Amino acid sequence: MRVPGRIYLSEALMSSLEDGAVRQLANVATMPGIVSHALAMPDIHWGYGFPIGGVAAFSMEDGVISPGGVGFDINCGVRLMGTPLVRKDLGDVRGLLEELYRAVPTGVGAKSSLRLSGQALDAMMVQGSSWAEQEGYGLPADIRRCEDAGAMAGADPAAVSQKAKQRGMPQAGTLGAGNHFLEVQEVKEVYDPAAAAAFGVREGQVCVMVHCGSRGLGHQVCTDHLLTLERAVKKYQIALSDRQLACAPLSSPEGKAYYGAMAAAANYAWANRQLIMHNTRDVLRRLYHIPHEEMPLIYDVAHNVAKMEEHEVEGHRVRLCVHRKGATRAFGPGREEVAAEFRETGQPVIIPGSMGTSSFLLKGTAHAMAATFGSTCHGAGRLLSRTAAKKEISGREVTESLARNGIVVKAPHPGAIAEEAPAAYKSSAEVVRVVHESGISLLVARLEPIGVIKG
Amino acid sequence: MPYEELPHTADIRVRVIGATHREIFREAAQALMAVMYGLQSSQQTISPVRHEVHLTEEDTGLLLHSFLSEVIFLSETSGTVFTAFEVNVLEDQLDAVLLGVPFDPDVHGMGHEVKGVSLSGMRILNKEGQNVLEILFDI
Repeated sequence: MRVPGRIYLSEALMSSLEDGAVRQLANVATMPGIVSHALAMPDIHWGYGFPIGGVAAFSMEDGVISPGGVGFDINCGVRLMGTPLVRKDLGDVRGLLEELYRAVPTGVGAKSSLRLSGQALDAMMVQGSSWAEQEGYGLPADIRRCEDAGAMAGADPAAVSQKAKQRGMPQAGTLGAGNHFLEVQEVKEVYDPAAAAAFGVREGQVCVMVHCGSRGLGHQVCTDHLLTLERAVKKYQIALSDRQLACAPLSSPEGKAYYGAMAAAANYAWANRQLIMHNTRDVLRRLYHIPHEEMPLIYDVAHNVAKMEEHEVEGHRVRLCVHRKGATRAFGPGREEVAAEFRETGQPVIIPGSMGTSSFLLKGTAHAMAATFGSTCHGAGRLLSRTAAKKEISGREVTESLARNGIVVKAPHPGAIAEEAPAAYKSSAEVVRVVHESGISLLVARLEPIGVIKG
Repeated sequence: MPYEELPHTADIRVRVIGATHREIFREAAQALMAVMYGLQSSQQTISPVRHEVHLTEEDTGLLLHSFLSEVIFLSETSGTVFTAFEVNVLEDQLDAVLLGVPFDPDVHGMGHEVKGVSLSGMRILNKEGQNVLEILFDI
C-alpha cells in the first residue's frame, strides 16, 4: 500500500462490514499517485474496483483517473426541492403519486417524451442544468444551487461514443430503476435552525427528493472507457492489484478522454434531474396552484464523480483529482466552489434514506476539508442482497407495513418494492450519526417520507 | 432459471455452465436477459426481431464482456428483449445472431436495469470438462 486506508465506522456498522469491501479499499491504496489516505465512508460496501462509499485523491503530476472510482452511473446524485406546502395541504397522497408517476417516466424500458436532436444532446452534455433552464425547464436560481452550478468544466462530447449518445437521447428526464426514486417528504426535525434557515428549510415543510443519474449514457461511457483504460494499464505499465481498477495517468490522452466523457455524462445527469424537477413542479402547480418560483431547489449533489479540486496536503495547497464513488462532496465554509449564500454555513449535503426511512440534510465542514478531501457518506448502503430481501418479505407486505406508518409507495412491480425494503439496508440514521459525530458533516434536518415512487 | 444466482449484496452475480465457450456465451446472454426483464427459461416465444453482432477482442474475458455490453446496448436502443442467441466463438472472434421480441412493459417490466458488466467479477474456470462462468452484473 502506498498510503494507509481509513474507514469511518461505528461498532454497530462493523458487523455488516464486508471483507471484500475492505480488500477493495486496500487495493485502492496501492494505486499510483494516491495522496494521503484511501478513505471509506460508513456506508461502505462491496462495489467493483473501488468500494462504494470510497474516496481517493490523486496527484495531478503522477496520479491516475479510474472509471472504477466513479462507477457505472456517473453523477448518480440527489436533489432536494422545497415547497410552501405542509402535509395536510397534500390531501390525497395516492392521487399525487399517480400524477407524478405519469409525469416522470419510471422503471425498466421507460422512455422520455422529450425528443432531443444530436446538437441538443451535445449542448446538454456541456451546459448541464443551464441547458435545461435555458430550454424552459427551470428557473435561473436553480443553477447556482447545484454542485458545480450543474455543469462540470472540461466536458467533451467528442469523447462520448455514438452508442452512449444513442442511449442517452430517449432517456433525458427519466428516473430509471433500482434504488432510484422520487420521494415526497416532510421536514420532521430541524437540528441546526441557522443552517436550515440559510438552506430555506423549516419544520413541517413538504419537500421533494429526486435520486437518479446519467442513465444509459453514463453507463455506456463507463463501459467504453473501461476497455480503453484496460489497454492503457498495459501501455503505461501500471501495476494493479485488481483488473477493475483500470486507469490511466491524468496527463495521458486516455485519461483526458475519460475525464471529458465523464464530465459530459455528469452534466447530462444534472440536466436530467433538472428535467425531472421541472415536471414535478408542473404537477404540484396543477394540483395545488403554486407557481414554480415558490418551489425552490434547495441543493443538488453528485455522489459518483471524479473532480479536479484544490486541497491542503501537508501544509501545501495542491490540485488533486478527487474520486468519490458513493460519497458526497461536503465542502465547508469559505469555499469558492459553493454558492455565495452557503459560504458561511458550508454546502448543503443531502443523504437519502432507503425506502420508508429518514433522509437527512447536513452541512459541509472545515474538518471534512482537512480529513476527507471535503467528503462524506452518500446514503444507507445495502445490507441484504436483492434475492435475500425478496425471500424475507414480499412487496405487498412492505407496502402494507409502510402504509401503516402513513407512507404510500408506487413502483412498476411489487418485486421492486421488496428488493428495496427498509430491512435490506443499513440504518441511514446510524450512517449519518457516524459522519456527524466524526465531524465530516453536521446534521441540519431530518426528513421523513410521505409518498415514494420507486424506479 | 437459466442460471444460478450467487450471493452479492449490491449487484447480481450469476453462475452459468456450458460444455464449450460458445455455450457459456449463450447462457450468459440468456442470464443477462433474465435479469434485465424477469424472463423465465420456460418462456417459448416467436422471435421476430433479428440483430447480428461481430466482435474481435484480445482474450476470452474481454470478448465476453464486449458481447454482453453489446447485448445491453442493442436491447436498450432497439427496445428488444432477446430470447434466443446463436453464438459462434473462435479464439478472439465472435459472430452472433440475436433473436428477440419487442419490449412490452406489462410482460418485461419486472426485471432490473443492468448498468454494466463487471470485468473484475468475471471468472471462467474449467471443472471436470465443463466451463463454469461466474459474472457480475452491476445494477
